[in-house]
Amino acid sequence: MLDHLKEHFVKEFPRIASGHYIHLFVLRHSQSFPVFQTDGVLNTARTQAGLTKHRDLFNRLVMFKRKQTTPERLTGRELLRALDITSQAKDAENYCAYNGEDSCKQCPDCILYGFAIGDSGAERSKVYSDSAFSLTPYETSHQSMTFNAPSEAGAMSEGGVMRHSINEQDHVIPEITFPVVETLRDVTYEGFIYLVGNLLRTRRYGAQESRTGTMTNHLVGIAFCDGEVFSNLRLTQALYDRLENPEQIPGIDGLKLLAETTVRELLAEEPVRQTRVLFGDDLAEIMKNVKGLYQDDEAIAAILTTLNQQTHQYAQTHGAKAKTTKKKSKK
Amino acid sequence: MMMLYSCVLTLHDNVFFASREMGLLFETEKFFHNWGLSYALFSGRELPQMYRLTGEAAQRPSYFHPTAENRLEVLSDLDIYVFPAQPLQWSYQINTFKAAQTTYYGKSKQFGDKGADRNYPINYGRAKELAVGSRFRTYILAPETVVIPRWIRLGKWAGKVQVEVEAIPPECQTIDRGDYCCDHPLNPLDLPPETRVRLYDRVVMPPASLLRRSQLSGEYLALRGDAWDLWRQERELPQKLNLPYGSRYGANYHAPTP
Repeated sequence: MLDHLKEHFVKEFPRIASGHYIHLFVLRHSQSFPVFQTDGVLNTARTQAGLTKHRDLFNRLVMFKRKQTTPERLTGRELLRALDITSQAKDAENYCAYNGEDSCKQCPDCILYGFAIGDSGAERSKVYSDSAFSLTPYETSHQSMTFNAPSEAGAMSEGGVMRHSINEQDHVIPEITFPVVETLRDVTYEGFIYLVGNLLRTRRYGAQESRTGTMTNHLVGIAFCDGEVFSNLRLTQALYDRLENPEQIPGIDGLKLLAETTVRELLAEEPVRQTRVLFGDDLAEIMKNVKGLYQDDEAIAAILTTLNQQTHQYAQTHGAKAKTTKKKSKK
Repeated sequence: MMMLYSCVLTLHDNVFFASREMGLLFETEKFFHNWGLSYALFSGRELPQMYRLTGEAAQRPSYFHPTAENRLEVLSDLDIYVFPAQPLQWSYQINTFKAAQTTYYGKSKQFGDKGADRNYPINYGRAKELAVGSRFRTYILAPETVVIPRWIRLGKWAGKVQVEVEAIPPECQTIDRGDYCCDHPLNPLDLPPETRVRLYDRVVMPPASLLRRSQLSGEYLALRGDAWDLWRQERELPQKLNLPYGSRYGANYHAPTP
């Protein structure tokens, strides 16, 4: 099944952006108590509830775009290091540091997610994300919780003195859904496997991620198109309109079915060519194949090694290691 | 055939670009510059979009650079011109951003810290962003055959923006000459060379400040009268609209040859 898809990918990373878009439709579903904040309170936005049926406004929780791609990148980088494709050792040949001038500009992570390093230039990202909005209103999707840091005895008083380490914070509650379109542009088959793997394998988002913040990404569909399609907000609002009773949100399996019909409907409105669309059984089969690759040490090592060759090849011809650009700029 | 399109942009994500930088605060102007909009609308199709930028090319804008593949003259040659966008309805949101390290926690370098060469922390800031739901209007002059995308990405975070476009019927448009007023923001560097600007309010923003509520003289496209009144109903369009006729990218600007 996966092999049949291969014709829809680019054979090598192009120098100039082209119309090869792959849209992944995902429901991000909270499993514990994530925290998405930039200024001490949870991020929210005031939006219309639905598109046509529910026109009232309410506040939604927002998961900013960089709070989605950052953990996914880090998951991928972890795997690259584990397979010795990149290294954290400064003297290693394949040394690559995240978010800084020491990024190698040629590994899969650098080329796929992009970078910008002043004089050393920039690589545009091939992964496009969009801020995600909670399906349900802020008021019913969060909870304030007190936290403290007790002493070794497990108590808040130590030798008769009270500790001051106590505070309160808003958390997103479990089973809150954030519908999302993640877009990949101009990626090879190997790049696709790597990026889908990052999406499926990232389990924690937001602040304090070693304590809380578990989320599961449920892939609902994949569409190969020649242009951009609807936004996360539009998907969220359309899905909200489809709910039978917004006071009672169905479980994740029910939501996935609703989301599939919603995505199909919204896709039909978009003036883009759809070369291949995958839902239901087709999608399940593909996902089984992808998971199989990740369960097999040798298979995934082979794919990521090929991907690494592709990104190095790209860097040699068009990127950081290319010789021709220097000549051009001297003219 | 040349068409004038009316275009409404709706923000589906926050849009941020640094129109003004004040220490830690980076503020977004509530107008969209027409050069940036042109790239957002036509990159990847009419204008080549390179993935990789190195050396000198990464540091200089390509608007009018003679060797840049994606210079704006490419659009002029295709008879495409996009006007700046005016806000119809807008709100702001301020968000803090930072650049994290792989260790998951990056301590900001404070004022006077070792390695801090500026008088403010160097890896975080506060962005005053245009919020989700804000709406803008612009006009596009282009041949009838042009494809205008339904979704574009704008600003430093590449925020997703919905584009709704409608061709204005030709019978609403007349070409006049003389003194006229234009409320819509204009880019002075793109005005036809014979057009004179008499009065204006300035919108200060890079890469070139815009004019609005201006009084000009020269040749202009006038939209008024019965046909216009009929068409603009329920479309949030002004009673009278005048746009300079013959605007082109950099018509009033000559790039120095390197």
